[in-house]
Amino acid sequence: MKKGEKLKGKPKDQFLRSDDQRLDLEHEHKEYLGMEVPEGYFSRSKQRIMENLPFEKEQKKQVFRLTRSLIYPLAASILLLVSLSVWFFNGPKVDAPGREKAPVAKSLPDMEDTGDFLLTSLLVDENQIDSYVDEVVLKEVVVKAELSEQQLENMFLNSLIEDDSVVDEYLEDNLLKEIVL
Amino acid sequence: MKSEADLIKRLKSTRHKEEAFRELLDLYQERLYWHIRKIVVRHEDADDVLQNTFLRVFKGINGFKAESSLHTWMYRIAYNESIRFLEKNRQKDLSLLDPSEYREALTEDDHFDGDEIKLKLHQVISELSEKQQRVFQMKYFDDLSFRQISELLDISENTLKSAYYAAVKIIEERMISQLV
Repeated sequence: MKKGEKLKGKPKDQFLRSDDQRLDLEHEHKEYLGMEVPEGYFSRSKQRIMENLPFEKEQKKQVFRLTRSLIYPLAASILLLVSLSVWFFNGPKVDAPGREKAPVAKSLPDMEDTGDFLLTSLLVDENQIDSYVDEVVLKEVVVKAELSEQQLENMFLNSLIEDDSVVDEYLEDNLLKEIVL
Repeated sequence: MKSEADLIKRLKSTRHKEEAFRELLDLYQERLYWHIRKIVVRHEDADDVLQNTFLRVFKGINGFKAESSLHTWMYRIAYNESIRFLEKNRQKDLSLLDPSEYREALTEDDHFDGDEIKLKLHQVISELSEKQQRVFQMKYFDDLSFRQISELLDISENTLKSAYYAAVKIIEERMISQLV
């Protein structure tokens, strides 16, 4: 704006534009304050800002975060599965016709002695293997599943007393620790 | 146009956050830039502060309780980031500089296309009272409403209007003579 130059659309005795005569921000800043921006600056700036904002990191964090809406159906499914497993293994056994029931061994090697199912199974006679497997399943799978179910119930009971703001984190941590792992 | 409440909801959601941030940039990027630029003056500095401002908005959006409008909240962040930048770089608030220092700071910027008239306007604005300066810049150059400025500065609208029209009168009187 040069000395003596009339502002676009303005009377000679008026320096600033009225509200209805105002131009866009960039134009006003350039014309009055001499402040410019490089050509295409705002679109480039927008792109850079979007690239620098950590969207992916937040989304990745959310993928592993069990939300309330997910955790209850998931827990219910696990409970149902465990219950079905318990019912299944405790239910009446139906022998296949013609199958001879092997006599239950008077004493089966205790897994605690060897600490390993595979190793222990080598010590069991072939005609006792079915009974042995049944006992292992009962001890190692069903009992442990019942314990996990109890742990899950305890976890939910405990979550009721946790502060609401940390309950999601509490549930996530405990679910992963106690059940999944 | 979707409401601000809807935008805030989408900004906080995981699924729609990215799309919502693009929309936020479309709405406020340029306004915030000019607000920042008038404080830090240099374009490169304003660019840095603008980036930091939106990063702070991103980090803080989940805790935003909508006690003020989104616009007011972002404006405050931009203002605080600008002052933080000046302090970090040991730069003085330009309104505290004497006229020759102010002139030097302006003309050092590669993106300042100044002539005597523009430099004179900068000087006249800097000579207004702090209240008049702020309300004038926000109303005239940032295109904010009196209601928005009132929310930002916590000053009544009537007081702001008085300050604004007084500032306009001073500027007109001092600048018209420059053009004649």
